Amino acid sequence: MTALERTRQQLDPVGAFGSRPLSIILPCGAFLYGLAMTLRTTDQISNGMLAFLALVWLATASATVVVATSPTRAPFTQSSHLVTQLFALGAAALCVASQWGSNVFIQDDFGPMSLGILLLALGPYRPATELATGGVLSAIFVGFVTLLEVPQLHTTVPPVSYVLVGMTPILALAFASSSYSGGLVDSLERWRARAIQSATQRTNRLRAGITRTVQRDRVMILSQDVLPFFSSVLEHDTLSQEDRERARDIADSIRSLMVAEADRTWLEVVAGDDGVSKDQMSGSVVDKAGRASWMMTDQRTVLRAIIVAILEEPRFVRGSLKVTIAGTGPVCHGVLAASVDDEDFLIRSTLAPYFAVMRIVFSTFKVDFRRPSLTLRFSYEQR
Amino acid sequence: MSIGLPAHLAPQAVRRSFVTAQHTVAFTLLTIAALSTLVLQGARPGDTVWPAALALLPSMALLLLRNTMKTELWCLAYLLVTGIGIHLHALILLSGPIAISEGDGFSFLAVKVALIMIGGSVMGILAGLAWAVAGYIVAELAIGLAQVETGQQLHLDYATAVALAGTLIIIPLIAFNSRRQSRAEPRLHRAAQDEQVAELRYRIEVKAAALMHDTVLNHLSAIAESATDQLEPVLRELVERDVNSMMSEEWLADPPTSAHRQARLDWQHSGLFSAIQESRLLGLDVDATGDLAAVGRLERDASVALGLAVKQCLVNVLKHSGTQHAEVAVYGSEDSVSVMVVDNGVGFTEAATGVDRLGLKSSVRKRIELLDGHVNVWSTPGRGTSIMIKVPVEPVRLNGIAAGNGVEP
Repeated sequence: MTALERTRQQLDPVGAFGSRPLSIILPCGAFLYGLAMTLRTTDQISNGMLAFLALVWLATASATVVVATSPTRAPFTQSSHLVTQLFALGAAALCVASQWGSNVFIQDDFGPMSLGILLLALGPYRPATELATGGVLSAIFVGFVTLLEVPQLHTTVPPVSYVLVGMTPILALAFASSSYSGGLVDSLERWRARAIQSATQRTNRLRAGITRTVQRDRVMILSQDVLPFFSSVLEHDTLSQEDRERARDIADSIRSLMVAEADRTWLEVVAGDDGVSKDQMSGSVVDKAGRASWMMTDQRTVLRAIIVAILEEPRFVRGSLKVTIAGTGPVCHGVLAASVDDEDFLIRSTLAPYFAVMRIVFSTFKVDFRRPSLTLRFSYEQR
Repeated sequence: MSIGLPAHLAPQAVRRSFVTAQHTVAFTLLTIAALSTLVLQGARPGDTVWPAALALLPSMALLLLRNTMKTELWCLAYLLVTGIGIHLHALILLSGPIAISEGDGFSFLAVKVALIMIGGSVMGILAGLAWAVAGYIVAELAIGLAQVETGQQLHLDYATAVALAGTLIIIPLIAFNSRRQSRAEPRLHRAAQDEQVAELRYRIEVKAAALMHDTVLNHLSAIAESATDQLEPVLRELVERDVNSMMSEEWLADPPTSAHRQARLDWQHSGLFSAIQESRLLGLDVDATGDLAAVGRLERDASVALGLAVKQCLVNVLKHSGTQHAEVAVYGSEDSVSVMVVDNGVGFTEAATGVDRLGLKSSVRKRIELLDGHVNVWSTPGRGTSIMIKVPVEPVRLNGIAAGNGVEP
């Protein structure tokens, strides 16, 4: 897992689902604004082809946001942000070029406002500093383009006023997007700090109880053979050949039990693979090198959650869950396969929040569903 | 943790961040409007338009002070102060010798939108919508009145209406929560809790397994391989002590803090010292060299766990290496303590060790990994074995679980 970026999508992938409607509506709004302004100012257009191209570039920028912010393509990367911003800036420049020599109002150029709306849509997906920096750089570019236009306008106000008019929507909306991103990340981090604190208190409370249970389990194992044997040896103070053989037998049986225990990973416990009762188990785990123990807490948590969710699916075929973990060197590849006899869209939509988290916490993640076979492939590296 | 906010906290956090974003828009717009005014003043030194910039300052100050007042009171104050402020702003600009018109690269759109961004959504969706509409009405009245007072022609401002419409569309969607999201969130939080408990249980199990290996299995092996018919006094003492210890409540408990402090101060109270002493009692000739005092810098649990791990290495030397001699060398650095256990015995290949891997795996590797430490084994058949155990001075994930029972002989 690479380090998480300070974005809502990466720190709260399930919560970022809530941002999905706006990440569709805002880019559509940005394009419609561009289209409406172009139609409203047809009398100012000197080059129709360039005006058309400006709209095409704006549509590309908007489509990039709609497509790349989809939870199925998470996370929204810096490159996607760059592509969005470059196409939107290109659209703004083409819009100015299309009205070259015939522009009357700076205010009705769609470029700055559309770019600002697109930046606003990126609030949940990119870090605050990146959004603010991107906004300032774009505003400088748009300000420069506006400055080139000023000599053609018949005006009494200084050129800087026009530059400010051009920059205003970008700066206002980029800073808004940035503070939205920063505010959400701050509250997420505050909550996380509190959650860690209460989790520590909780585990401290549980420690004594768990320790007692573990001790009881061990003493129960020991009281069957070991303790009576030791007592008898201590009582007689002598060792016979029979005692030596008995000691060897007991040691062998305890050792084989402990080897099985030591090899049993958390994943087998979650999947209900106790390694013994094959008929009764919910799922099985193939992990010869014990690579499941290399997963980090977040990775284990989401895998645990999705396994529980799959096992609880009404149409899950009992015993069909199989998790295989293999790899070379520090890189591990996991495959989770299960049979769920349900419609494709129902499975995908029920499990979508888990997929969103898996996309963030694992290096790679891929879903494949061909009724009834659900296959999830994921990879991670040893920390 | 990538699980995020629980469902009951998320909408409020999202709305609060959205209102902060709205206020950022308002502040930026007011700042730019004030700046534009000053630019205009610079270009027309004969006119007096700079007070129009001053008229916006109280609103900007209110935006900075928004966390110091109750939300309803603040919204009301912002509505009044900004309404009056932008009215004065427009009045000054429109009543100058050269009236400002929209086509001159100057617009009242920015100050009007700053009022729409009043942000009442913290109080709920309906409150957010109502305050935005109130802001729009006050803004249009403030600028409209200024236009009437200065004899300007009134016209419908589409751009401000579009800004209001956009805001009204966004407010209800900002804290949208889908059904599948609501179902998954509790499960993820539950899984996170289960994970914590499982990790705790795992650590205690590892400790128990390691202790069981150190005690029960070692004693059973010693009995099985005993050459005499008499129970060795040292073995008898160890068996008695461990049987009593296992049956008591303290078996898996953490060692007392007072012992910890003493152990830090004095190498002779360290787990490593105990391990070496015990191995000597079992008949192994151990040379302890290097920076022995370095183990005194280890935390209590780390010291005990390191001692038990080294003890297992020394027991392995005694049982498997065919030699009665081992060397324990300690190296201390600023952030870690390394202990090397070296013997010149028969050595082994890891693949050929069979079930005996348990001692190294359970008593040494897992125990040291719980301290965020590392174990390296170098062994060649016929040429001896070296085991390097490296433990950080301040383990990150310790929590008093990795150590042994702390019962020092």
